[in-house]
Amino acid sequence: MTDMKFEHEGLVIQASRTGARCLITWRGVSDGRSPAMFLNPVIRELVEHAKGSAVTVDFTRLDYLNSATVAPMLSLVRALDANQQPVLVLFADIDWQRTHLKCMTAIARTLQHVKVEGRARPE
Amino acid sequence: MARSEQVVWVEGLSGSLVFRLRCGGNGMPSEEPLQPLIDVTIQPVWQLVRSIRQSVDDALEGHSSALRVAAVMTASELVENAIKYGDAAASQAAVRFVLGVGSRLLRIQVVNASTNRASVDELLARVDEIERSADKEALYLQRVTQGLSRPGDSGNLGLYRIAFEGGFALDCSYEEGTVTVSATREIR
Repeated sequence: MTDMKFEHEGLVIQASRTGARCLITWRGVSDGRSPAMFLNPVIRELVEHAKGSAVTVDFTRLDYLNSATVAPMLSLVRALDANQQPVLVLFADIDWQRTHLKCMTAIARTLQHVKVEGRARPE
Repeated sequence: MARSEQVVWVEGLSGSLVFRLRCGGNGMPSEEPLQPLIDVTIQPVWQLVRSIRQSVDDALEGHSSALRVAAVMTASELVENAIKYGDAAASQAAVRFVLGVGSRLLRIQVVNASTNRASVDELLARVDEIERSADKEALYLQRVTQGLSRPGDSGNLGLYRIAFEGGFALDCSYEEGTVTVSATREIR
């Protein structure tokens, strides 16, 4: 198993890969003025780390994200899809995350390998 | 009703502020007196956005979780916009934030100085586009998709999110170098 961890102003992104499976988890808060400056290099590393695996991207533990985080979040999923690997994206079944669940579901229709699901938020 | 007629008065009553909403076109009840739960003026410092979110959440204790979450997000996005697009160098660089609640309505108002006419015109146009749209979800998705094809262009996505995710009606005015953005929704 190999692990990666990135932290920035309350946002924690972890990736753990076991064989052909990779789990990428976002937790905490992303409310920076320019989140893409932190996230874009991280996304490049995550995509490289997950290459060739079946990836689960778990956003259910996110507490808050601002609108400036939406584009980097979606670009991660699109980049994983471009590598032609199965991608499962998880959002929590709570009010504010439903917006992003709907949005990702709509965008996933234009992608080849992405499946989006709502799940109960972990305790 | 013309947009310029959708104004908010701030009145002093017995030492406290009551602001009255007179609006039309968005189906909101008119003339509801709103009690200000928060009325603060902050410096345009990014770190204060978190404080505003916490203050809004605390102020709305006792209201539904859905309303609190929507109000917290809306407050955060509006203050972020004011800090991003306001005039940090202007003599009146501060951002005024007001949260008001009545029996049927909740209203968030953010006021800041701006001399960037092009930026203000874009803001006015976006608010107008959002308020004219019958399908806020489709508009939000369209805006997100456009943002993906143009990295770096966040395009006031927060405003679209406020309308779709938050369920708020938006209003915006610009007078004498001051931008006022208001977000109003019914308390359900």
